[in-house]
Amino acid sequence: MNDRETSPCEGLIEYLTGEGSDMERKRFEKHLVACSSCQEEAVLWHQVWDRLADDAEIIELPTDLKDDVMGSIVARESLSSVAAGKGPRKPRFRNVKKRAMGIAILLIVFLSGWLLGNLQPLSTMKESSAQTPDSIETLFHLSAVKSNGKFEDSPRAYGVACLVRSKDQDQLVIYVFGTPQTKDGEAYQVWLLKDGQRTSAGTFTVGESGIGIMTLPLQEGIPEMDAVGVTLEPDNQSTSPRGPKMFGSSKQDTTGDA
Amino acid sequence: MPNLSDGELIRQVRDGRKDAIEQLYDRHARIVYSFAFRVCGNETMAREVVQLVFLRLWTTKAEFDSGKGAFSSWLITMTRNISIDVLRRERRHQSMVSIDQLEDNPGNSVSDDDPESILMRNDRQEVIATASRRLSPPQQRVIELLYWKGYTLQEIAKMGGEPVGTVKNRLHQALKTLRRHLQGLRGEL
Repeated sequence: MNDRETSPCEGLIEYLTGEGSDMERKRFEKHLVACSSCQEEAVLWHQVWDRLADDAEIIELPTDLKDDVMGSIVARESLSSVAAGKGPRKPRFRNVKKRAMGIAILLIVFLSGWLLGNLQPLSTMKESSAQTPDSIETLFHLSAVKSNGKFEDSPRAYGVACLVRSKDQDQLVIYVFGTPQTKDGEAYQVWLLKDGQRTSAGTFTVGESGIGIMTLPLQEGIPEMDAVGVTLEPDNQSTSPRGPKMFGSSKQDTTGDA
Repeated sequence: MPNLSDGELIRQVRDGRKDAIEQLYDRHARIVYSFAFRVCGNETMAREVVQLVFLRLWTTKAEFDSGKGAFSSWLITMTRNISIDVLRRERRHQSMVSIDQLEDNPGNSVSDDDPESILMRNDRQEVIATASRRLSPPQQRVIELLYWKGYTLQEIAKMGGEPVGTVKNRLHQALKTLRRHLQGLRGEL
C-alpha cells in the first residue's frame, strides 16, 4: 500500500462506499482480485463498518406501525394488478451481472484463505444501493378539502404527489403538510383513481409536526391514474373510504425537476 | 409457526407467505426502526424507512444466504441504504419540505420489554461508543457524515474545503483506530 496514492489501490475507499461509476467499479473489481493489500483493507473495513450500526440506541417501536407495514404489503399487491406495465423498468440483468461479479470476487477472496472472522460479503454492500435520485417530478398538487371542517386549525395544509426517479427504481411519494395529527388508531389513506376505480396505495400517520409521508416503490411500472385522493380513516384497515376526504389532486404538473 | 430461522422465513416470504413476513417484522422491526431513527432523526421518516424495508423484503428476488453472514447484517445494510435514499431525497427535495421541520418525537424511549436482548444490544452500543470516543473530532465527523448521513466523500471534502484525499486518509485512520479498540475491548469483555 505504499504506493496507494498513485496505484489502482487508490480506488478502494470509493469502491467500498459505493461511490464512482459502474466502469470505475468494474475496473477496481478486476484489481481487487489480484491485490492482497486491498483485500486486507476490505476485511478491515467490513469488521468495523458492520459494528458502526451498534451505535443506534434501541427505541420503542410505534404500536401502530405494524398495521401500516402489513397494510402497505397488501396495498402493493392490489396495485400490481392495475399497474400499466409501461413504466420504466429497472435493468435487472445489469444488477444480476453486478451481483454475480461480486459473488465471484467473494469466492476468490474466501479461497485466498485470509478472511478473518464473521464477515459480511462485499456483494451485500450493494444489496440495496443508496442513490441520490435522478429527478423528482410533481405529478399532482394535493389541495386540502376544507369543507369537511377538519382544517380549521390548519389553514395552510397542502400536499404533493411526486415521482422520484433513480437509476434502479422509481417511487411514488405522497407528502402532506400542515394536516391534523392522527390519534386513537386513525390513519391517512392514499387512493389512486383510474376510470372511476379506486385502489388503496397505503396508509400513514401524522404526528405533531403535521407532516405525513408515504412511499410506494414502483417495481411494476407507474400505475395509471387520473387522480389521487387522501382520506382520514378510523384505522388502517379500510378497503374503501370510510372517513372524510382530506386531500384531492387539483391539477397535473408535467414539469419541475426539484 | 415454529421457531424457524430467518433464512427459512425469507424462503417462505418468496412463496408469498404473509405470516412469514409478519414474523420477520416481529423479530427485527425494532432494530430497523431504531437504526432508521438514528439516521433520519425523526419518527415520520423512520416509519417510512421501516415500511420500505419490509416492502423490499416482500418483493426482492435477492436470496439471503446464511453462509455469507448474519441476517441482521444483511438487513441493516438494506436498512442503511434505504434510510440514506430517503435522506438524500429529502435533501434534494428540500424546496418542498425541509427535514429541519421534522422534529424528533420526544415520546420515544428505550423499551423495557425483552430486557435480555436490550441489555445485550446496550452492551454492544457501549462498546462502539467507547471505541468512538478514541477518535479525534474530525474522524468522528467523517464517520457521522459518511455512515449515518449518507454524504459522499466528495461532498464531505467540499463541506470542509479540503482535498478528497485528506478525507479518505482520515476515514482510513478512523477505521484502523476503531478496529484496534474494538479488538481490545472484545478482549476485556
